[in-house]
Amino acid sequence: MINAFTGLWKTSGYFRFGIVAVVFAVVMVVLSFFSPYKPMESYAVAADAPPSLENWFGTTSRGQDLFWQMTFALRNSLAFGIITALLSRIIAIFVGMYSGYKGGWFDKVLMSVNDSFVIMPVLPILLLLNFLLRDQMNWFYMSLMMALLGWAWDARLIRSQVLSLKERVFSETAVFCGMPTRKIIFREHMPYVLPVLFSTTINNLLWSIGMEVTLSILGLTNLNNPTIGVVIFWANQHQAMISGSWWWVAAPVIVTVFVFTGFYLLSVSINEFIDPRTRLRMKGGAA
Amino acid sequence: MSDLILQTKGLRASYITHLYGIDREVKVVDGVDLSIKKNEFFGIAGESGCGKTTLLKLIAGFCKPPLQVQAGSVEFLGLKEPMSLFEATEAELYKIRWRNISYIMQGSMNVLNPVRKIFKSFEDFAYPHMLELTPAGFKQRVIEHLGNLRLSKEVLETYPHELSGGMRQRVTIGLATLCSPEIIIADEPTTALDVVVQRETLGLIKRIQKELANTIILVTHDLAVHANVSDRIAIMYAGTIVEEGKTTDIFDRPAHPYTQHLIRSLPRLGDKEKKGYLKGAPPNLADPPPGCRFHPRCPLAVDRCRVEVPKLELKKSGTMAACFLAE
Repeated sequence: MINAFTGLWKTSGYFRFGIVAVVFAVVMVVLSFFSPYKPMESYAVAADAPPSLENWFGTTSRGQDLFWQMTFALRNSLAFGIITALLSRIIAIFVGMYSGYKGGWFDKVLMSVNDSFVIMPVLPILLLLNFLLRDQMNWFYMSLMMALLGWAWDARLIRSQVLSLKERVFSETAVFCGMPTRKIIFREHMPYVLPVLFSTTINNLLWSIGMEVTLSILGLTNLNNPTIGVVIFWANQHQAMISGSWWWVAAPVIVTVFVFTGFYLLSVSINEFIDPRTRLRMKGGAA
Repeated sequence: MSDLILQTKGLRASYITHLYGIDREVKVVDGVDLSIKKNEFFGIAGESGCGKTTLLKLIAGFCKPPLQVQAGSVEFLGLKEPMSLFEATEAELYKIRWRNISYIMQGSMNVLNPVRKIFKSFEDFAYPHMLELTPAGFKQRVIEHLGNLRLSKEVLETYPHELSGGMRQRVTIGLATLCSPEIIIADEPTTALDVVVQRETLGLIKRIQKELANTIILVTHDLAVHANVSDRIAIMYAGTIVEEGKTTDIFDRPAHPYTQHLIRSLPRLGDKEKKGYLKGAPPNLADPPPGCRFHPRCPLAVDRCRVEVPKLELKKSGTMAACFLAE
């Protein structure tokens, strides 16, 4: 494990960038627990100050320190994104793998459900639900909702992989040996699907946070709980771009871009590491 | 007590599909009776698409849709009681698979999962059938067994792509023979290999067969391979067995016209004669010809061949052949 880490660190620039970003994100999340201010506390610091040594990311028109606010925002957004991605992965893995492997009527039923979710217009539905349930809505319910709406594409992707895997000789041999379906799926096929799964997880994380930003900017989430979207919402509310306090928008955008580029590159480098075919490619063998 | 290990009776199976109101039935195996003895190297030969692989799947009792058994039985006689593979429950089949019958599938180079290390494949496929061993004992057993096949134990910690084709082949053979099964079914185990590795692999299979004194059922379209290793062979044509007998008899005195042409087409050293060939192609198995399935291509065909299906009978040559004209 440690060997793998140092090896990756030495050889992969992606990995180094990813680790730096993850460490940054973790530090931010940890710092949020030691914040000198409450998440949305107003007029705790001087208003509208540009970034300086004292206020690293500047301050808002409501007298909040953007650095400390971003620690909360990142924590909430990440928690939201990770929970959404994990929940939707669970659905996508089960639907995709079992439906692909079992085939027949099982596949037909699951895929018709799957396709119904694929064609659903997610944003309008989310807007409507958020509008209707605004008072009861918290981030956990919202991530549950997003997970229910966000698994279908990936389930199809996983299914398509399994459709090809189950026809291979090693799968048939596994069936002949009497390996139970669960084991075939999770031992023999899972390693194949893992790289796809990693990148779809990151995609799903980005997608769900993007959705959350959209909903927050429209003012449809709990605006007293800072997330990346909520910070941008308040910046817009105070017309930060027009009044010249660009840092209010820049802070959430730059932090998000940095952390997510890092996440993405980390997943790419880990994928390459766990995929045995990479070793072949690195040596210049056939792909 | 007979010396048979496996017997099929009147085996008939088809690939059946229904799609958008169109029914299709491809009659791949039609009336196959085989009696395979203990401690013998049994070969099945035939051209591509004649039902060799399907027959093997049936013999292994490994039959899933769209393949459907329509008639006949396959009996495994290696246990105290004869066991009908099509009537056995999944649990009963589970017990004999790998322990008593192992099956090296076609494309045997790909039996190993490319994203799992070799030892993991052994654990996945063979260990559940050898639970009387401890995990450490199992590993020891695998190492010894592979040592027998001239593979070092480092192989266990590699991925399949790190091995050469011949090594992968040997690992696969090792996997199939680990539990010393009574029957090893091998589907074209040498097809993707060059002749040198082919020879080595066949030698290995032959040696294992001698050591374990078990039965090997080998399918290949390569008659030279059969001539080398098989004790008895069955020639398949369009889903039926047209001739069966001792390898030497079949090569020296083939009785069925199809076999005769097949043997005549083989190149021989010093033979300058131009090889003849049979016009036409094997029949469409979704709509096979009536009577003897070979009659449209048979130069000797008479009226009777077009209506009646010949039975496999003992001929003067010493082989069993399904032909009215052979004596």
